[in-house]
Amino acid sequence: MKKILIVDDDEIFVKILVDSMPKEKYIITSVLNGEEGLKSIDTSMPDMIILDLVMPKMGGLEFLEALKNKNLNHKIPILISSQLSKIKDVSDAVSSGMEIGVKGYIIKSSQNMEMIIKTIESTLKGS
Amino acid sequence: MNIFYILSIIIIIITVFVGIFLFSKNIKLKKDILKKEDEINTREKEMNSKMYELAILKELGDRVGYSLDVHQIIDVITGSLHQFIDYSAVSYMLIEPEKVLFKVHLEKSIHRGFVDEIRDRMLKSLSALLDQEFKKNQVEELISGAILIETVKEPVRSFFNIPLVIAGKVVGVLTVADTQTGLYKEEQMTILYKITNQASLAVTKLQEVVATEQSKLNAMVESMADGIVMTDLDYRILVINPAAKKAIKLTEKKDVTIFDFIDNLGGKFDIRGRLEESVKLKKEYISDRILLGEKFFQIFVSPVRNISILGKETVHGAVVIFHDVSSEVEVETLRKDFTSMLVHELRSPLDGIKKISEVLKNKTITLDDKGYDEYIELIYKNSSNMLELVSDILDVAKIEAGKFNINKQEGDITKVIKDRVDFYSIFAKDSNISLKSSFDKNIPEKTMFDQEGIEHVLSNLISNAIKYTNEKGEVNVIAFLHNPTKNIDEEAKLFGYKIENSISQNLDIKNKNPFIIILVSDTGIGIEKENINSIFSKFRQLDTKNAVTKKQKGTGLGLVIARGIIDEHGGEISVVSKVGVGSTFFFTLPLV
Repeated sequence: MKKILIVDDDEIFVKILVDSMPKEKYIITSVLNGEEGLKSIDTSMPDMIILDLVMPKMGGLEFLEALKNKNLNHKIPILISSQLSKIKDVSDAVSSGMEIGVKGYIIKSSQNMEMIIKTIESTLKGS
Repeated sequence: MNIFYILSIIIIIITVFVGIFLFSKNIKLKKDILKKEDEINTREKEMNSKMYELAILKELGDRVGYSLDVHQIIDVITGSLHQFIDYSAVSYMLIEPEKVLFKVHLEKSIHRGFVDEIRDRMLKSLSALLDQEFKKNQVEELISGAILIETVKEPVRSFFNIPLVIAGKVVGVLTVADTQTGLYKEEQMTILYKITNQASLAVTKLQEVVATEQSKLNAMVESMADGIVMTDLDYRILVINPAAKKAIKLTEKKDVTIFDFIDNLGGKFDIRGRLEESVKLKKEYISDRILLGEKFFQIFVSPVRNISILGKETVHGAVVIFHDVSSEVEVETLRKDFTSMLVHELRSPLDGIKKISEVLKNKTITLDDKGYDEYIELIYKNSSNMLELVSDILDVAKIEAGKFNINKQEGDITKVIKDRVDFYSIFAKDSNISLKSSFDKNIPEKTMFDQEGIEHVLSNLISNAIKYTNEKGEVNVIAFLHNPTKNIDEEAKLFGYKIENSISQNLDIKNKNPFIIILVSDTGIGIEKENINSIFSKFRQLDTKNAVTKKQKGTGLGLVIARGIIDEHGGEISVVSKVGVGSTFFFTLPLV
């Protein structure tokens, strides 16, 4: 069983994702912002993180920065998920987050759920 | 016969006497007339010289204008002097750095020796006046007017010298000279003195005026918001104001050079290249926005031109203006942020709904009834949010277009407020916030207002108060009738208004009529000073990162609409706030 942490305040996206992923294969935890995401990592190390960029309290970029400062022993594969309108932020996040495990990104509004799930699964396999 | 003879003799004698009397009388008359004529002549002469003086001064004024050029001024004097004084030659000598300028204008033809004699005499008096020796080889000579004829061997027989004084300093001498003897009497000398004196006064005064104007200009340049730098042709800085130093962060440095600019602009702007272009090619240049430190600047470079009287254009240097466009950039950024906020706020729920319908349609997720309901609930919530946002945008558009209409009807304002407080008490309870209210019994049971509009305002203020208040915090809604003779803060205290924020400071009580005031105060996070002024304006939404928890996304349009509604009622809406203490939003509803 792989543990996936979703850090995203978009409740529909999170709900559909949770409902779509086979429950027998994954344990999914979801939190609403970066701060809670960090707390969640402290309690249980996930095998993968799906990270939104625009969130209240602590956004995705700040989360990545905080994660860098944690100096974890191993890299957690991270997928950035965001809206198309934030595409520049996404590319910034990907390039700056490479060294701590950012593998790629999902554009929520332009990819359907099957594609998104495939991307998640292949990222998990690759790690 | 004898009697006749005697009589005729007597008559003759009388006639002769009468004749003699008349004749002598006539002579006296003639003398008187001559005397009068003389007087008139003298007066006319006086008048003429007065008029001449005036004419010269006027001409000085007209032709010299605001010129400080001594040559020009003396040329004007010498050019018109011959109307009054006879001379063969008028000349002046001016001391200049490295040389003595000697300008001679000949009215009559004379020989070379005459000019040399004037020159030597003038040099002598100049040396005497300034106690300094001037030599022939320092003299630069310019002769104009009639030609020199060597056969006219007339020497200088009349000569008159006047020192030229400007601002109390001898700058040269003016001379008239003639071949005739005894030409220059006191009269002419007086006039000449007067004229040169007036001219020197005028120049001195002009210098003062120019100095004052210069200092005014300096003060203006000093206090300008735009940075200004003026350089000469070798890019040496002649003028620089504090704003220009500030732009390159060298506020403290005294002698700023062009190299400081080159260093501190750090390749963002090729100031040297642009100056060169401007000086050599007379080209003007306007830069794009350039970020220097935290500020955005637009930089203008243009040549400093001077057009002479003859219409010849020369370039003296260049001027660089640093125009701060940060606030324009800020407005633009706000506009962009606003648009992207709208896009985000609309796209997210729309995308969510699309995704739900996608999974339901493709049956990628198997759902039981409960799961199905959950999705329906999400669709409902998201579409409601979107609808609310769209109506907000429409309302704002209406307010901006001045087409926002309210429908005032008789109603019980206290009841409307109570209902709103009740409605939000569930939300407050959920967030562990105490929502209290207190009402003034003196508020009339029936007043005129737009119920829907006021409900909208109240909902907005109360929900915001809950949203920005921490757990265990307090939100207090107070409504009372303001008595114009009483202090509004004191009145509010009577109804349990606790926060130290004085509401009267932000309330512009224009009319002395009573009004109802509604306060929504919280013990929340408060609003930063720099945000408080823009809180009721479009494009501005408080950073949602500061919201205690994200209960709902805000578009920042709610307060814009609230203001529109209260404006339509003829009331005021405002806020007082202290960071960490809380905020009080309040609005007034005039009774009349």
